[in-house]
Amino acid sequence: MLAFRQVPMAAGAEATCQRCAAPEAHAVTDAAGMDSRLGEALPVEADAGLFFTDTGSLDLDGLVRLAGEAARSGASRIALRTSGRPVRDIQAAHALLQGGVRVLEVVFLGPGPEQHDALAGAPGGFDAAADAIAFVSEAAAALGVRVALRGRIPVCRHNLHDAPATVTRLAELGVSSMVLACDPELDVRRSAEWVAAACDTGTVNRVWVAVSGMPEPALGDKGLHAVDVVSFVEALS
Amino acid sequence: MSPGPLQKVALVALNSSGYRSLALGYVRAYAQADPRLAGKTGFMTLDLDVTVDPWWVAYRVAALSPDVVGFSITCWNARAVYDACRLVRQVLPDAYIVVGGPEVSPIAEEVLEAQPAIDAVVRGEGEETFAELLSTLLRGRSPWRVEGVTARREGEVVSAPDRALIGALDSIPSPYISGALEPVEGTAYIETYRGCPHRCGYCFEGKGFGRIRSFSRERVEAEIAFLAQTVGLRSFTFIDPVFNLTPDRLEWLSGAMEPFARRGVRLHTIEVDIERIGPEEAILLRKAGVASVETGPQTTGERALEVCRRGFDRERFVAGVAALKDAGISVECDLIVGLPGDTPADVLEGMRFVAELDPGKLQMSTLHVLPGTDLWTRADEIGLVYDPSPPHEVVSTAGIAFADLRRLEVMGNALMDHYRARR
Repeated sequence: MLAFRQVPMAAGAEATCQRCAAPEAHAVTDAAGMDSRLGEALPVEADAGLFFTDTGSLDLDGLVRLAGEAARSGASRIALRTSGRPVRDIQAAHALLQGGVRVLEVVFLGPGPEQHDALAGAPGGFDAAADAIAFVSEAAAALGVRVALRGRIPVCRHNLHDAPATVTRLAELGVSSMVLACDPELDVRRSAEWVAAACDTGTVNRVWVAVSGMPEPALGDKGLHAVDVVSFVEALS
Repeated sequence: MSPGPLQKVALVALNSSGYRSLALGYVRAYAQADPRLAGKTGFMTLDLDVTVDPWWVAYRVAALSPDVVGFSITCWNARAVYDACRLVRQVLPDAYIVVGGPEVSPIAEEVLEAQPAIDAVVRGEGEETFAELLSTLLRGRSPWRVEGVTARREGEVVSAPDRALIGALDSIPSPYISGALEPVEGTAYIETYRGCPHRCGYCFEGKGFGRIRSFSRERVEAEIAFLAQTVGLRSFTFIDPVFNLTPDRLEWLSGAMEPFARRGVRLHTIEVDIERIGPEEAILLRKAGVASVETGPQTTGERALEVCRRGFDRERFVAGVAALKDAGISVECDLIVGLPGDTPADVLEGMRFVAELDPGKLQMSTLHVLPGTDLWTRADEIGLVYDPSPPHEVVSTAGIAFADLRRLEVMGNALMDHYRARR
């Protein structure tokens, strides 16, 4: 619907279930690597949207630099997927927004530290993600800019049953939309009812929940949840 | 009610934040100028926020010790007004409580049946009817005989015949020039005509008026010139249903506003027929100081357009948006979720269409089945289910089930939130 060009930075996933997959190697962790990726993504047409993903190992300076380059190239909508760790305080949030970021998508693996941190394999991840949303929200109010806050919930067999509770937690944190990114390995017959419950949880909390990675027919009468308000019209490989 | 030497009238509006009631301004300006009331009736207007606690509304009204209390009601404030009326009745048992406005006009008898605190409903255009009602009360006559009034008669609810529309709108004094209303936060409202050229099934903009009646150009220009002298005036809000009603009027208004536009006065969110806007019309709007316009398409679904008796020319719509953007005018595109005839796929298509146009603002709202509209009249026939209580939100349609409507609302809110998030 709102079209973005996806720019995966090849710097690692923001947060993944370590019980599902081994830690990955990051192709891009330095300035030269970032320049190379940005060179492929930019320039963009005026009023275009750019969505930076796969930013896992980038620090705040790296993220601010991405946003700044995108802004200078004319992108009107700049979105960022993050674990939240680089947004460690209100100053960091100010820097991101002043750099041009307007959509922040934060990754959650569970409804609280106990679940999220256990799956992510490191302590403090959940609090960092929740704090990032709060800091950006506060910074946006202070700067008088409009931001959209999103959640991303990678759903696998290890956190499937927590999906509705995670949606509730994200709604409490103040996001307006989220996406359940379902592991293609999930058994659709066993997982569909949990995904549907998570969708309904979002609706009653007035937060849109989109589902990816699950065939639309599996959603039954909740097929509308296959639609996200953000769409990737083009993606760099 | 037995008024003393001076009949005291309190006019009360519960507005959205930052707004004032133009309707009460008109009603008061007309009544103040009525020779039958001159020297015998005094007026006070309470423009309050709709979120104000009804107990505080009653407190403010009671402090005025009015003989007559008049409330303006729309679907948005109806519940709050009814709460306030109930309390005012308790506090002022002898006051005569009158309501009017688009929410109650078409359902006046039902309102009086359901709201025992209210004594009368002024139906339709309120200026003449309310003034005559005050005169009637002043003389101790029966209010239920006044044309355009529905009132109580010995426990019964009785409706007098409808009142004819005001022929010459210039007979209504300007609320601003007469002092009944003042600009708020640097903004003043201007109305140049009443009625609407369209007959969209969901809209009560025309308020059942069968034809368009205009204020004279001299009257409009005098009001604009008067307001432009107000210290701090920054913008006008034209409440006309279609600003570019005809090419001739557009050219006139552009010329009339241009001197003030040069001084920095702006027109915000005027409503336009965007399909009749090309580069020349966009330039005229720019000269008038138009900063932003509001337009449809409301839906792009062919069946819904047909059911709602609404036109939509996709190519001309796109061209209109482009012309306005080229002229530096921000466009707000509106969509309504829940129109009869639309399916969920139609609503999604409308969202995609509007998002691709990249307008300045994207506004989505849920259908409200307003009393007196065509959809309200035909609701059963077309399978439209809605909440009978104001604001009459749609519950389900033949094409969209209850749950999907709620999902589309939530999705629409998220889309608006993300749409606004831009540099």
